[in-house]
Amino acid sequence: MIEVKNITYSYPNSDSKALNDLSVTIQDQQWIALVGHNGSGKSTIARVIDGLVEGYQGEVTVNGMPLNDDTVWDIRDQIGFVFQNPDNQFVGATVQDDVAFGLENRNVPRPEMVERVQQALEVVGMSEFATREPSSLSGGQKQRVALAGAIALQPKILILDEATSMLDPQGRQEMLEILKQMKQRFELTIIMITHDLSETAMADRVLLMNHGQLVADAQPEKLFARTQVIKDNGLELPYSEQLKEQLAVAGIDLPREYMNEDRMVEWLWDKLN
Amino acid sequence: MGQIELNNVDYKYQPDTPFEATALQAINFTVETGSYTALIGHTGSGKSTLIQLIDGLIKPTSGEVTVVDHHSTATSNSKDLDQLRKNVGIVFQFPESQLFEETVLKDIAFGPKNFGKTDAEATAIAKKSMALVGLTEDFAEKSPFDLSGGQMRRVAIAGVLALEPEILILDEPTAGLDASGQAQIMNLFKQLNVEQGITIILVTHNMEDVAKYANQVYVLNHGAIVKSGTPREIFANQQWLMENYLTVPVTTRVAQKLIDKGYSFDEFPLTVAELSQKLIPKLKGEQ
Repeated sequence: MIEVKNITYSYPNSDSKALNDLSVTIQDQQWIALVGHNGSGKSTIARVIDGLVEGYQGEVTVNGMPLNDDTVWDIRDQIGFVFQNPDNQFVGATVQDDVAFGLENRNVPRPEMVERVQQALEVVGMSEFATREPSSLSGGQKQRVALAGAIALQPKILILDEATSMLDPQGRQEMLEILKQMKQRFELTIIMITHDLSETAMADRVLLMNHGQLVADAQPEKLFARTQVIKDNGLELPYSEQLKEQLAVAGIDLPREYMNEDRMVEWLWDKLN
Repeated sequence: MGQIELNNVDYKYQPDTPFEATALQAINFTVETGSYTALIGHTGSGKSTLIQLIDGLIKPTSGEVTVVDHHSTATSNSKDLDQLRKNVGIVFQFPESQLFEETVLKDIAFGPKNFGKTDAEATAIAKKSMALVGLTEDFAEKSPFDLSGGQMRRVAIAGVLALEPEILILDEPTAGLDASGQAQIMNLFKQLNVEQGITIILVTHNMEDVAKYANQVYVLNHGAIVKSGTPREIFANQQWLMENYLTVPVTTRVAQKLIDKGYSFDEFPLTVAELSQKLIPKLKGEQ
């Protein structure tokens, strides 16, 4: 369980609060989608939880352990963090060296290390690239390797900060499927940061942030129907709500509840006949 | 003859070694002056390699690359490649990671100064570039690192424009920006294309942007160009795109689902506005 209590934080040289008295509790094995526009505070809170931010007010507890200078390494051991730009976290000369890096730091015995690296690369579909140089990979392939590096550590909590931004749509869908399987297999808690609501459908909860505060905490479909809240907080409406909006302007009566794409098609087909 | 021509171009990584890997093969590619071309293909299909060839960062293993009046072949030297680059500006993924100067103005002026402009000339160009990307003058003396993600990206784009390229290559230029930031940046590029006549090559996975902005599309798969045409031509064949690991704009997918049920469109819609325009009269019972 992750407990965030009354966190307030401003970046150095900034007058505005990146986080403003934020409190939230995340249960074990929940899939959380953390959404909000650029600057809403979503990456900042993720970094606070991983002990990457200093000088905030409030308290963070991870699996019963209060986050402080003495516990930060133990807590970080439980968290796999995948950053937005994979170039910022590559260190190895080959893909497999890179994935092994975190394990080497933790003194994992070599036979086990080899196995975990292989397994992690297999999970993300990058086994055939094991001996390639990371710099020869495309952006999307790098993001997969970065994910492999995080899961090789067998964390309890996986935090992904816009970690699919460079994948193609199919790759993104595959990544979401991989996460779903991993979550079950390793009983993971997932915190996925994104500004794309279409990526949040698999989440148990969507946390919508703005101005360093929580604006909404709801199941995906419940949130999708709250179009004004989505727009007021700088996010793009899900596709079916965009279409509904255009049709409503023309004076067409529409159901209020959220319809996913297939339900929207059904509704249209019904009306067209 | 287009502004950019690739004639039968192959590119191999680490050729003649056990690690040889073919990144591109038999590429024929034409871009006309002032056009807006989208380059699509799944992760690892060769898009980034193609861009690097056009920018003279690498040279072909065989075949010929022509950019404006300059050529690169397997025997070109670095001086030839520099000539290619003169006409091309690239906005790489996460370009703001390359900002480094103390102020926005200095950062943007760095490129032209590096290419031999005087301080005064470089500053004038930098100011012009700031205006082009919609950064007001009060940003000039700020540190680029105090800006928001979207603003930092504008600074980085202004730095590319300060080199006064005729061709602008955009590699996933909106990755990591939120919806309003994405729309602003994409509108900016369209404006540069229409008002300044800058040729645009957009590398993207965002099919909505391809539908909205491009007038020509090239599809890459396993290092080969497997299809080219207008967005409407490309997106009309959803089945084929899926077989090539690509998706279509959501509108196209929704339209296809309606077609599968028995509905017919006179022309295939590509954007949400096009789809609703076609459906509204029917939904209102007008024929």
